[in-house]
Order: sequence, then C-alpha cells, then structure tokens
Amino acid sequence: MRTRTGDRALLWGLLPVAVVQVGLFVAPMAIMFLYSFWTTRNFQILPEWTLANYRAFFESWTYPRVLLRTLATALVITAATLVMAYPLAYFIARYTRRWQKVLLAAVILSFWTSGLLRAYAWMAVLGHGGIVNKGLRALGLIDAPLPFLLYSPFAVVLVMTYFSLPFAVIAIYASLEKMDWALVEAAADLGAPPLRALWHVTLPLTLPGIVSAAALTFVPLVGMFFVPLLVGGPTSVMIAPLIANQMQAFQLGLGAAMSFIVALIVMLALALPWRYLNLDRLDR
Amino acid sequence: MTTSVNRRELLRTAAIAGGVMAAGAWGARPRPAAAAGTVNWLAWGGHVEPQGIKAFFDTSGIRVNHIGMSGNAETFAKLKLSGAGQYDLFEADGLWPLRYHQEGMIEPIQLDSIPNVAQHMYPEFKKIPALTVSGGAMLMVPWGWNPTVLVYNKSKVKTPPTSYEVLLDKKYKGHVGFSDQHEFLWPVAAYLLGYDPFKMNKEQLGRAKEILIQIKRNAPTIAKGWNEQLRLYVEETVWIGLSSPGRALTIQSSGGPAMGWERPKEGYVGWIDGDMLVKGATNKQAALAWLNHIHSPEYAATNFKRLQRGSANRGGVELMKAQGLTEMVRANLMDQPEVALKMRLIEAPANQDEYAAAWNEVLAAS
Repeated sequence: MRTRTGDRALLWGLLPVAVVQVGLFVAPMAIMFLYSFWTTRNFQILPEWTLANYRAFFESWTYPRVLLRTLATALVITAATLVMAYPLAYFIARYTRRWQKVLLAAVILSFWTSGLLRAYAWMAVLGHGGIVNKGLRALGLIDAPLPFLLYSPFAVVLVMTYFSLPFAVIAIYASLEKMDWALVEAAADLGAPPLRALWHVTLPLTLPGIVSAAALTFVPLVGMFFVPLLVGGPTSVMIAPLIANQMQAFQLGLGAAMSFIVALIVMLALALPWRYLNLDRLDR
Repeated sequence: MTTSVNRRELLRTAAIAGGVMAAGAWGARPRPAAAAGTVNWLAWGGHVEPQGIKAFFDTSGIRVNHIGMSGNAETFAKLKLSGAGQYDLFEADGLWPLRYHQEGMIEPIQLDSIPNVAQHMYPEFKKIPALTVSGGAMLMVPWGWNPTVLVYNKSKVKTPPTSYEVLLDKKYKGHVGFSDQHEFLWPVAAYLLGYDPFKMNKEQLGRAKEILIQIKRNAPTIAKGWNEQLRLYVEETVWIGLSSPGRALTIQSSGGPAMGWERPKEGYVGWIDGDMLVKGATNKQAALAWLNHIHSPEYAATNFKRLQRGSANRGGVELMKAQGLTEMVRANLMDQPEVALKMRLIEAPANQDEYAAAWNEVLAAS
C-alpha cells in the first residue's frame, strides 16, 4: 500500500514535468486553439468568435488538396522507410552481436549534425551542379542535368526517407531485440521455411515495433517544414510550409485552424492501428 | 561507488538548473532598454559590419545589440504583436515606414541633425516626398536602394528581355526564377494586367494570382532568400528572373555566367531601405550616435562594397571611387541617386489579408 508520504513524493517528483508540459505545450496549444476561432484583421488577432478560419480551409479545393498531397507523400515515405528499416534492424538484431553497438551508433550518426545542414548537403549532391549530375556527365551518360533529381517529388521522398530511417530502425530494433527467437527456431523445427517463419512468427511479434516505427516516421513527415521547402518543386508544396506562411503573414487564425485540422487527422491516423491491430495484446 | 540523491537535493538542483536556464533566456533577449550605453538595433544582417560595431564601441563606449530581422510584413506583424519598445531602431523598405507611422510606432527624424547624414547623404534622399512629414523631418534615415528589374543569363537568353512576359514563356520552363518574396512578384502580375501593384482589389488579385501561378510553373523551385537564388543563377539552373543590377554583377563575381539586366517596359518597383527611430526610444541619444556612425563614409563604403547595391551615402560612394571601385559604383547605379527617386516604391497594401490569402493560393497551386 502506498503511504501518504510516498504519494506526496510522487506528486513533487511530477511537478517539474507538469510545469514544463503545461507551460511549454498545453498553454501554447490552448492559445493557438483559441486563435483558430478568432478573427485576424489588419495584422491583429481579435477575440471575435468565428468558424470562418475552419470554413476557409474547406471553402476551396486549394488547402484540402495540399493536405491530401501531404498525407499521400507521408504514407509513401513511411512505407519506403519501413521497407528499408526492417531488414536493416533485423540484420543488426539477429546477426551482429559483436558489432551491434557500432552499427546502431552508425544508424543514429546523422543525428549528430543539424537537419538543415543535411538537407543542404543533399541539395549539393542532387543539384544541377551536384556530384550526381557531374559524375554522370563526366561518364558521358547524360548531356544535360537530370531535372528530376532535385526540386521534385522524387527528391522529397528520397531526402525525407533518409531523415526518417534512423527513427524507424531504432523502433523496430527495440522490438526485435526483446523477441523470443526460440519461437522462430520452433517454427523451423516444425518445417516452416525462413520466409514463412518471418511472415507468421517474426512479423506479428514485432508488429508493435513496426507500428511505432510507422508512427515515429509518419507524424514528423506530415509536419515536416524545411525539407519540402528546400528540395521540393514549386507545384508540390506540402502543408507545413503553407501553415508557416500563414503565420509569417500574420494570418494567425487560419494558420491555427490549419494546424488543428492536421493534428486531428494525425491523431486519427495514430488511433487506427491501436483500434484494429489489437496491439495491447501483443505488448503484454 | 553509488550515488544517492534525495528529493530535496533533486528539487534544489532542478531549481538551480531552472534558474540558470531562465537567466540564459533573459540574457538572450535584447538588452533591457534601461541599460545605459546600449542600442537595440533590429536590422537586416546585411547592414551589419562587425568591425564597425567594434570601432563604435571603442570610441563611444556604446554597445550595439544587433537583432536580425526578416521581411517587411513579418517584421510589422511581430512588432505589432509584441510592441516596438524593446528596440531603439529598426528597419523597413519602401513606403512601409508610413504604416509604422500610422500605428504611432516611430518618431520622425530631422536628418540634418545627424552630422554625417547632413554631410554625406545625397540631397535626393533627404527629402523623399512620401516619407517626409511636416517640418521636414523624415520617417526613415535612408541607407540603400535597388530597382527590381529583369536579370538574365546572357548565354541562355539570347535576346535581352524587355517585358515581364518572358517569365511566362514556355521556352524557359524550369529556368525561371521564382522566390518567396511576394512583394516583388505581385508587381509583375499587376503591371502585366495594368493594375496598381499594391492596391489590387480581391477580383484583381484573383487575376494576378493566375499569372503568378503560371510563372511558378515555369520555375524549378520556390527559392528561399537571396543566397539560394544566387546559387540557382550561378549553377545555371535559373536563367532569368527578378533581381537588381548589382546582384547580376554578384552572380558573375561568384563564378556564375555573364548576366545582363533590363528595365521591363511595363514598369518596375524598387525599394529604399533605412532605419527608423522607435517612438519614445529609451536609448534615443545612443541610437542617433549609432546612426551617425553608420553614415560615415568608411562604414558605408565597407558595407556597400560587400552588398553591391545603390547607396544613399554620397561620402561612401566617393570613397569607393577613390579606392578604384568606379566600375562597381557605376554597375550598381550608386552614382545615380535620381534613379531611386523615379522608382515606384514597394509599400504595404491596405488589404494585406487579401494579399496574404492570394499568395497562399499561389503557393498551394499545382
């Protein structure tokens, strides 16, 4: 039984977390939520209640189309990331006892430098004067720079997959690491070929890790600001730069409404796996 | 060895850490206005010469606290939201000072009360009609200026362009410059349609928006700021776009192709930037002393050699000529102040919300 002193100690211990959470997350979100129902006029946010900001989002096809494009892009990148991350995490967890820490460090090595710097590095690689185009020209394979390498949906998918990969690898690795491999051996003993064992044993048991990896990838991608801005094309703008633009132009009401619409959709997207995949059962 | 930390120690440590962080955050803010010998200067990074700040401190004991600023509309929005009182001086372009004046945020300055301005500024810039208030005071102390014209890669665009229509030409698809600086892009559409660039109504904005979307479809990307535009020109991704005569020169000197520039026949806009004094600035005398310092020929010449743009400071321009930089002076129209006064200056539209909404639709369009 917990004592009264123990309860008090717990409350004291939680106080800093609560202060930080309320001060730095809940309060700003609450302010932005209010703004989403207020009126912006002539560089002023006025407490005149309105649904106009939410209406403005759905009034024309402009914003929903950008949001759908963003969600579709994020889904494609999440899928690409998982396809690449799973074999890599599997390899690290299963076959690299000695080099495991080194390989994991290598996976997260990219976090040691600024994301912006890495995006610029990709621009230097993929640009018209970048090493890919220069290399292909030097080899005589192309006469003019390949136009799709940079400022294109291809560049957005490539660079954002690169950004997402470490998150996904770590999440899947954590799941593989605590898996009971004796079950895979039992499947093999019972005559299951490796691929069948993977499909019927390993994948279901690591599903929580896969879902975590998908969430850790998908959520930041929807809100990703600087990568699509730097490497994306002029006709494939994503939702986050558009929200930022609203804020910069002091359209706080519409910007806040757009942010909450996106947040709601992301929350729904996260809730679905828990609702239909019965992950709680697997986590036990 | 084991270490144990009890709750009291943990809380004490957390409190100290919190205090240190709060102090750090306080220190990162602009210096409090009450601090004597400090000028809080909200200015574009390009105007800052660190050696000039040091020299000013060495001679006057006044510390200049520079805070970087972004575009006109964004800065106006920020200052309107948070107030301008934390600064002594801040900057703007074109006719934006009028907007600040309407809001009661700035204090007009008698330019001749600042010795270096009185002595070294081109007379044309001391009495810009739109920025002069009763009694001859000015809303801004002009610094630099530039017309926004068509610049082009001479080897890729064989015929010098004379009209904005060239930006819509499918021949240049993937090679037209398009940036996030919308106050320079709306005029392109407005001039093509025969509208006033900064006084378009909703219907006119709708038509202008369609033109900007067409130009955007001819662009490889939406460039963010000048440095990215420079890179795009240098590596010959972009062949034609909007910029200034001096920047055409910068592209060449940065290893890029030979560039030309032309004034579009439909008309063009430009900007004159400068510093404004915050109304009731606590460090007013220090701020005026700093303005005097930057308007010395030495500071101005150092800055304009680097920036390459039109200058309001005749003393600085003469010094550059004496240093053998006549070609740079001419290429940047530094010795033609009359050109600056003929330009249509960029300004804040009265219906800013409608401009912002239309710009978002331009960005969002496929």
